[in-house]
Amino acid sequence: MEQNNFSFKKYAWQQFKKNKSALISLYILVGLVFIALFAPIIANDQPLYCKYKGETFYPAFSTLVNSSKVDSVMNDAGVVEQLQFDITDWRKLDLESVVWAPIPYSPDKGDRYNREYVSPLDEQRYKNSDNEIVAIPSRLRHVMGTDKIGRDLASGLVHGTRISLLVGVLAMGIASIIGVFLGALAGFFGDRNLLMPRAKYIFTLIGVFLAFFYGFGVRKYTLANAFSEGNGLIELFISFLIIVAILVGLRLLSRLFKFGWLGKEVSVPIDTYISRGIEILNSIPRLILIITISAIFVRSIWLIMVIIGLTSWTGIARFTRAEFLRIRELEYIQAAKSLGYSNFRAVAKHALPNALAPVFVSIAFGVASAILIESSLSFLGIGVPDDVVTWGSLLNLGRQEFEAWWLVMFPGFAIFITITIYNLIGEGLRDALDPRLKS
Amino acid sequence: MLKYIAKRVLIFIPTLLAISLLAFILNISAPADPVEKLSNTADKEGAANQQSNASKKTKQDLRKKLGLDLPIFYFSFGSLSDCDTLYKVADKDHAATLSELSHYYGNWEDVSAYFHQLSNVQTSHSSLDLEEIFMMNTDIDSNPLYSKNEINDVITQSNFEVNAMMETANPSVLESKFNSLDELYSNYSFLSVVKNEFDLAKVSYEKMLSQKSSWKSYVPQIIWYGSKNQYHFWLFGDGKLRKGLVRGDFGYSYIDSQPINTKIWSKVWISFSFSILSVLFAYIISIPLGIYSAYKKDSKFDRISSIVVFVLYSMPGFFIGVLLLYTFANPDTLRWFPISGIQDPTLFNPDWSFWEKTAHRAPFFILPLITYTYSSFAFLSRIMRVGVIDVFGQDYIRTARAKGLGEGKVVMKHALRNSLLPIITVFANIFPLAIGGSVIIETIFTIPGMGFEIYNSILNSDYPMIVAVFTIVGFLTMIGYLVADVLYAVVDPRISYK
Amino acid sequence: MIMYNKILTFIISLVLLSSCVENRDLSKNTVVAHILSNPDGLHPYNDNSVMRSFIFEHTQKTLVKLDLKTLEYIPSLAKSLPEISEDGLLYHYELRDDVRWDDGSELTAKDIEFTVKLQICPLTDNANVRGNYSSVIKDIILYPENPKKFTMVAFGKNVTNPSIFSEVYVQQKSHWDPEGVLNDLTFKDIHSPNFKEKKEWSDWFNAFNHGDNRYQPERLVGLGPYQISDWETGSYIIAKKKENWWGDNDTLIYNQNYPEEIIFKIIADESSVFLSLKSQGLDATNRVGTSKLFKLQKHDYFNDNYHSAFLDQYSYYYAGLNMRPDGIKRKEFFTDVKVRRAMAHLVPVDEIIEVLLHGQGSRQVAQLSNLKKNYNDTLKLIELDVDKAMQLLDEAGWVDTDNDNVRDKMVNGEKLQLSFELSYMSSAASKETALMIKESMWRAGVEVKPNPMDFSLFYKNAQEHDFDMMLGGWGGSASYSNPYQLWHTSSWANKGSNFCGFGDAFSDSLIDVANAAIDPEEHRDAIWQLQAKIYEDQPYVFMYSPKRKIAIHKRFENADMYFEKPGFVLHNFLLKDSYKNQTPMP
Repeated sequence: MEQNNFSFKKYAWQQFKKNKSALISLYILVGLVFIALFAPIIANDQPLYCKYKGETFYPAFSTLVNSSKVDSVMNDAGVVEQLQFDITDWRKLDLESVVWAPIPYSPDKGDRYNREYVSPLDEQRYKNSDNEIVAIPSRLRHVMGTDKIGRDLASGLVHGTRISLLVGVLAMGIASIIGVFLGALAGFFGDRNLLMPRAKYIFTLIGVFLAFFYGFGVRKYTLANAFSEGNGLIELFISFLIIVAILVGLRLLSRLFKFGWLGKEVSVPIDTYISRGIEILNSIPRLILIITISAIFVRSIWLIMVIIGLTSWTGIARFTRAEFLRIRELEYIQAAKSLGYSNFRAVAKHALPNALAPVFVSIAFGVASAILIESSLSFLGIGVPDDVVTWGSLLNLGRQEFEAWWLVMFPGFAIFITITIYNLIGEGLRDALDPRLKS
Repeated sequence: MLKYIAKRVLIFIPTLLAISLLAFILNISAPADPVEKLSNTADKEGAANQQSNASKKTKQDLRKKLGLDLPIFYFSFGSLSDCDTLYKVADKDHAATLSELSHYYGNWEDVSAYFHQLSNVQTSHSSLDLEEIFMMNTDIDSNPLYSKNEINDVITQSNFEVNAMMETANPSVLESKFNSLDELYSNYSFLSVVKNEFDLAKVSYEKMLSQKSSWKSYVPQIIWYGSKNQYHFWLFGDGKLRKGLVRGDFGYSYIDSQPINTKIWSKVWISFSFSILSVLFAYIISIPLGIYSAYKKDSKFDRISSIVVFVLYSMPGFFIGVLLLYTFANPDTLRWFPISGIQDPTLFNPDWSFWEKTAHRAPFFILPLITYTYSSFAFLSRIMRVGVIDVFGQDYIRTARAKGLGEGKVVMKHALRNSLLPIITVFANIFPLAIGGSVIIETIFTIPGMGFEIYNSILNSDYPMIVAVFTIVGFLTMIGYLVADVLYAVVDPRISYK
Repeated sequence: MIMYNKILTFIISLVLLSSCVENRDLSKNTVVAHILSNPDGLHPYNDNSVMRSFIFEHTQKTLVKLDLKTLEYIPSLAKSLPEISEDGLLYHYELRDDVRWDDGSELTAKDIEFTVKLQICPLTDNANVRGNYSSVIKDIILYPENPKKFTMVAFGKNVTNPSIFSEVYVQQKSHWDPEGVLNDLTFKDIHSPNFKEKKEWSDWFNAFNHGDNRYQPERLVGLGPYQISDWETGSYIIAKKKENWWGDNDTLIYNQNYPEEIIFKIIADESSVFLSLKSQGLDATNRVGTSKLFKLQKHDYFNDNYHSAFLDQYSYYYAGLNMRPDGIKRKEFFTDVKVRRAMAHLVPVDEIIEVLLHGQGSRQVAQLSNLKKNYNDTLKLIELDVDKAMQLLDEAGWVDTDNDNVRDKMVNGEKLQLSFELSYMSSAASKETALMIKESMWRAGVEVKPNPMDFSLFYKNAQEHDFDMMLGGWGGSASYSNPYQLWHTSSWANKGSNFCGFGDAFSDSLIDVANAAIDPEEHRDAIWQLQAKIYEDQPYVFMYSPKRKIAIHKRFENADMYFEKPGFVLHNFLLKDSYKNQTPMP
C-alpha cells in the first residue's frame, strides 16, 4: 500500500543518497555556496571583532552594511581619532582584544612587504609595530602566496567563488534550458511529425517577423538608453512580452482561417529550422559576438553570463537531438503514443531521462568551461569590471609570470573541484532518475 | 537516404547565404570602423605615432575604395521613417545620429535638412581667422577688446559644441546646446558669420520638431536597393579588381591588401594538420579509456583515470604550454624539442621534398599538439564512459551475456554501436575546427596559424577576412553536420529521417 | 588491448626519436635578430608596422638619416645636408655620384621625383601617413643640366623640412614604371582638391598597391646592402647580403656591412624569448621581458655569452585628464587646474615604476623625454603627496559634505561626487596601474572606477573626448616631433590627438614659432616655454618611460647600443675571429 504514497521525487532522492560520491559532491557544493555567501567574513583584512580604547567594534560586519564607515574614538590625551574602517591599518593599532577573519586579507589590497610574487613556501615579510621588517607571524601568513602587487591569493579565491559559481550555474542554466528544449523538439518531431493547419503555420511565420520588428526594431533606442541607465533588463523583458504577445495573438487569429486550402494540416519542418539555425549560430566566432555586444552595452557580469549561455546551447542541443532521434523509434515511446498520451507528455515523462546522460556531462564540463571562457574574456578586457576578483582573473595573473605556479595551481584546483563535483552530481542525478535502474 | 542527402545539399545554399549575410551585418554593427583604423596609425600598446592624421576627404576616398559607401544587401527591412540613402553618410557616428533622429521625428527630409544645415555651421568656422579678429577688435589706441586667448577659446568651444550636436539625438541635450550657443553668439559679435548659419539651423530644427510624424516608425517597410550593394559585389565581383565568390575570389584584406585566398591558404594547412592530428590523438586515447572505465566502473582504474583527466581539464592552456616549454625545451632540464615556430630558418631548405620537410617540422609540432589536445581527453572519455554504462544497463545486453557471448564481443558489438551517437556529434565538429585554431597556443609557440589571423582580423575590422572565415566555417559546419546525421543512421539503423 | 598498447608505445618512441635538437652553429656569419610579430608587409609606402623601419634599415636607403650617436641628421644618399633658401621654402639637394641600383643604373633626381610623387599621391594606399608629406612638399624641381641636383619646394617654413626625407625610401623609376605611365601626373594634379584619376593611373596603382608588392621577396627591392631572399609568413624573414653593392667601399659607418645573412625571427611569447636566449638561439633582441632579463643576468653562462643592458628610450606613458568635458556625458571634474595638480600628487608613479618595471623606467616633467637636448630641466618632478593633494582639493571646493568619504561639490546646481572613470586599453600592465591609482586616490577621498575596453573603442572614445581620466602612451624618437598634432587647440575640436583639450592662443603661437624657427635658439626657447606651460596646466600626469631591454650575443664586435630605436645596428655586427673557427657543440 506504499504505492499510494509513492513520490517519484522522494524515491529519486533515496537513490541519489545511495551514491556516496554524488552525495559528498553535493555537500562540497553546499560548502562552496556557503563560502560564496560569507566571503566577506571569511577573508577580510578588517577584524571581525576588536576592542580599541575601551570601545568595541565589529569592522568586518560594519563595512558589509556601510562600505565607508567612519567612527571615532577618544584617546587618552582627549584627542578625537578618526577611523575610516576600510583604510585603517588595524594591525598597527594597539588593540586590546581582537578576533581576525580566518584569512586576514582583502582581495584588493596589496601587501607592500610581500610584493613580486611571493610563493606560499617562501619567507614572507612583515612590518611590526616597531617599524622593523621581520618574519611574518604565522597567523598572518599568505597561505597561498601573493601576486605582483602583493594581493593575497587565498582571499581572492574565496571572494571569487561567488562570481565563478554564478557564472557557471547561470550560463549553463540558460544554455541547458534552451538547448534541451530545442534539441528535443528537433530530434523528436523531425521534419515530418509536427503538424499544424497551414493557416497557423503561415501566420506564425509572419508573426516571427512582426514580433522581432516591434519587439526589437522599433524599440532599438529605448532599449539602448535603458541599458545605459541600468533598467535594461526590464525593457528587455517588455520586448520579450511583446514578442510573445504578437506570436500568440497571430496564432489565435489563424483559427479564424481554418478552411479550405488554409485549413489543411501541413508538417512543419522544425528539425530543419532548428538545425540550420544551429549551423548559422555556430559559424559565428564567439569573440566577434562578444566584442560587438560589449561595445553597445555596459560591462556587467549578468551580460557575460547571458552571452556565454546563449553561445553554448548549441552543443547541448546537438546531443539532445541525437539522443531523441534514437529514442523516438524505441518501442516504449511508440507504446506511449498508442496509449493516447499526447506527444508532449510522451516526451517529457519517458524520453527525457534517457536522453539526459550525455547532456549532464556536457553541462558539467560547460560550467568549468564557462569559468575558463570568463577568464579569457577578462584577459581581453570584456566581462567583469577589473576591480572585481574572479577565479578567471586570478588565472590571468598567472599568465604573466610562469614561475608563480601558485597563481595557476590554486585556482586550477578550484576549477578541478568544480568539474568533479558537478560531474558526480550529474551522474548521481541520472542514475537516480533512470527508471531502468530501479532496484 | 540519398534523397535525404540531396535535399540537405540543396539547403546548403540558402543557409550559406544567410551565414555570409549575417557576417556582413555583424561587421557593420561592430563599433569599430576600418576606415578610421586605416587612416590612423597607433601601436597596439596604446602609444600612438604622434604624426598621423588624415583629412576628411582622404577618409571619404578610402571608404569609396573599400566599397563601404554602398548598402549592405539588395533590400533592407525597416520602418517607414528610415532613410534609404543612409549608407552614403561617411561618418559612422553621424549616420547613427541621423538614424536616431529620423526614428524620433519620422520625417526624413526635414531631418536631413537640419543635419545639412548643422554641417554648414561647422564649415563656417574655417573662415574665422584669429589674427584678423584680434586686429579688428583692437581700437586705435591698441587696446584689444578681447585677448587672443579668449578669442581662441570661444572659437574652439563653438566648434566643439557644434560637433557634439552632430553626434547626439537627445532632445533635451540639443535644447540646452542650442541655448548655450545662442548665448555665446550673442555675446561675441565676431562670430556673426557662424551665427547666421546657426540661426538657419535653429529654423530647420524647429521645422523638424513641428512636422513630427513619429507614427511612421511603427510601420514596417522594405527598402529596395538594387544590385549595387556590397553583398552583390562580394558574390559576383565588381568588374574591377574583385571577381566575386562565384569565381572563387574572397576579395582583398583591408590590413595588407593581400588576396584573402592567399592569406588563408598559406595558414590553413597548419591549422588543419593540428586539428586532424589532435582529433586522432584525442580519440585514440579517449575512446578506449572511456570504454575501459565503464567496464571497470568504480574500480581504482576508473577513479584514478577520472581524476587525472579532470585535473588536465582544469589546467588552462597557457599554463600547460609554457610548462611544456620549460620542461622539454629548456637547456637546463630536458632539451628534446625546439622552442618556437614550425621550422628552423638556419636549416630549412625550401627545395626539400614533402617528406623531408615533414621530417624537419615534426619535432616542432609535438609540444603545441599536446597543448592543443590534452583538455579533450576529459570530455570525450566521460561521454564514452557514460554512454557505455548506459548501454550496459540495458536488457538486451543482459540477454547477450546470458546467451553466453564472450565479454569482448558483448562490449564491442553492442555497446560501442549504441553509445557512438554522442561521439559522432563531437566528431562533426572537426570540420569547422579545421580552419580555427587557438590564439593562445599560437602565441606561445609562435605558430603562424589561422587562430591568430582570425583574432587579428577581428581586432582590426578586416571585413573581407571576417566574412570569408564565416563563410568557410559555415560551409564546413554544414558538411560536418550532414556527415554526422548520415553516420547516425548508419550506426543505428533504427534511426530514419522519413 | 595488448595490440593497442603496442601501437601506443611505438608512436611514443617514434616521437621521442624524431626529435633531436641541435645546437646552432655559432661559427656561421649569420645574425639572428628577434622581432615580435609579422610585419603587415614591406611595401615601401603602404605599411606602417613598427618592424618596418627596423628591416628597411638594411634593405632600403633614404636621402638623409639620423645619426644614432650624435642624434643629428647626416646625409645618406645625398652628398650633404640641403642648402636652404632665405625664406625657408626652397631646399637644394645634390645626390652622391656612386649610388647604383641593382641593375647597374645610376640614381638620378628623376628617381627622387618619382618617389615623392608616389609618397603623396592620393592613389597610394598610405592614407595614414600621407598627410605628413603632402602638407609639406609642394613640388620637386629638376635641373636638366645636372641629373643629380634637385630642389624641394615646401609649403611653409618649418624646422622639420630639411629632414622630411629621412623616412622616404627611394624607389627606382625605371623599375616600377618603365613605360612612364605616371609621367603626366604632376604635383599640381596631386595637390589639387579635385584630383581626377585617369584610368591608366588607376590601373597602374592597382598593380602597385597589390599585396604581392608587400610580400613577394623578389619585389621588395631597394638601395640597401641586403636583399630579402625568403619570407615565411609568421615565422621569419631572411635577408642576404648583396654582392657588389655600390657602397661596399664606403667609409661611413652605416655602410659597413659584415653579416652574410640576417634572419629576422618572429617570436611572439616572452617565455620563448627567454628560453631562446638561454640556448643561444638568438643573436640580438630588444624585446625581452624585464623580469626575464634580470633572471638571465644572474647566470654566468648568460653573461659570458651576451652583452645586455637596460637603456632609456623616448616613448612615455601618461594619465590624461579631460579638461573640457561637455558637462553632460562627462562631468566637470578636471576643469580646475588645482584639481589636476592634486591628481598628479596622488598618482604613485615611483611605486608603479617599482612594481611594474622593477625600477627600470625613468620620469619626465612634460612632453619631452629627458634624453632630448631641449628638455626643460628647470621644472621639478611632481611627487606623491597625499596631504598636499587633499589641501589642493579643499581649496578647489571639493569637500566631503555627506560623510561617505567621497568628496563632492555643487556644480551647476547639482551635487557632484568626485567619483569618475579611469579608461584604458585592457592589458595586464594597465590593469595593475589602474588598481594602484585607485587605491592611492581613495586615501584622499577620490573614487576611481577602472574602465577597461578594447583598443578600437578606447581610441574612439579618446578622440571624441568621451572619458574622464585615461591611461595612454606616445611613441617617440630622437628626432623633433611636431607638437601640433598633440597640443594645438585645433587638434581638440577636430577629433585630433589633443584628447584632453589643452591649449589656448598663447600655446598655439608657441607651437607655430617652434615649428617655423630655423634659428636653434629661438626654437629651443619656444619649446622650453611650451613645456613649462604644459607643466603648469597639467593636462597629463606624466608617468614613466620604460627602459628598453637589449641583449646582444658576444660573438660579435661593434655591438653598440643606442637610445634611438631599434637600439642596435645589425649590419655592423662583425663576427669575432675566435668564433669563426669553432666547431658546433654536440
